[in-house]
Amino acid sequence: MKKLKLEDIKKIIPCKECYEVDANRCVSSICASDLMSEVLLIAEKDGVIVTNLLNIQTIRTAEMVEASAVIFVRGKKPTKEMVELANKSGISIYVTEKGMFETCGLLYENGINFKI
Amino acid sequence: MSEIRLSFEIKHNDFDRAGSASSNLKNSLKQLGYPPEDIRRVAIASYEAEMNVVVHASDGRMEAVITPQQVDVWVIDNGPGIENIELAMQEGYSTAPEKIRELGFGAGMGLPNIKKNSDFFEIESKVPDGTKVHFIIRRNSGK
Repeated sequence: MKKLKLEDIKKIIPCKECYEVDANRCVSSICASDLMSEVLLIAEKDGVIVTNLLNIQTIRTAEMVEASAVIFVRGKKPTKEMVELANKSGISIYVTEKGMFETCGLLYENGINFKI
Repeated sequence: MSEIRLSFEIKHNDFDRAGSASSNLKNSLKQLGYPPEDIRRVAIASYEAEMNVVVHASDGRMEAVITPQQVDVWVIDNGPGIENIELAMQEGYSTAPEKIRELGFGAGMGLPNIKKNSDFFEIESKVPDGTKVHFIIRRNSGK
């Protein structure tokens, strides 16, 4: 598995919007799920959560598992409260127009470890 | 550090504030210099327990006792209690309504995940009085 940073993820996934805290933060793995119960069970520290689920609990979950970033797919834009909470917790947020399947495909194609 | 006691209120159905008790506990542990891996386990277990109160119970509270050796957490609610604890402990079993599942919770993984992340876990429940979840994470237990 390649040792990746958030700046590498940004090069792989076309991002419509970025709310970046630390582009140099390392990425351990990818956790793709719309179920936060599942994310809490399988996500690794410094992982990136790829999800359709846009609410404040997505950010809370990312905070608890010490995720490095959240990618919201299909152009879902976070609210101001979500961005503020993420910022406070050191979590970057990326928004892509791509869907879950294509986002995961692009990451997989580039050799990034997965947790789905 | 000898012993630090913390207490947080948890409000049923308050999804905007849900997780704030666990977040406060996590930040306190960071300030006290607890190992990051232990903090992560406390955060995940306490957040699962907190979400259970927000989703299923009436109001409740989280109590934590932090010592240099371990973190003890109690999450106590005022009902309605769990009818069958054995069933509730089974992975995938859930009584959460569809609305909660749409929020990304209610997959029936909460209680098993608290147990997985802790070094000690116990649950007591009485219908209709309420439920008490108690778990311990020992410092550097490496679980």
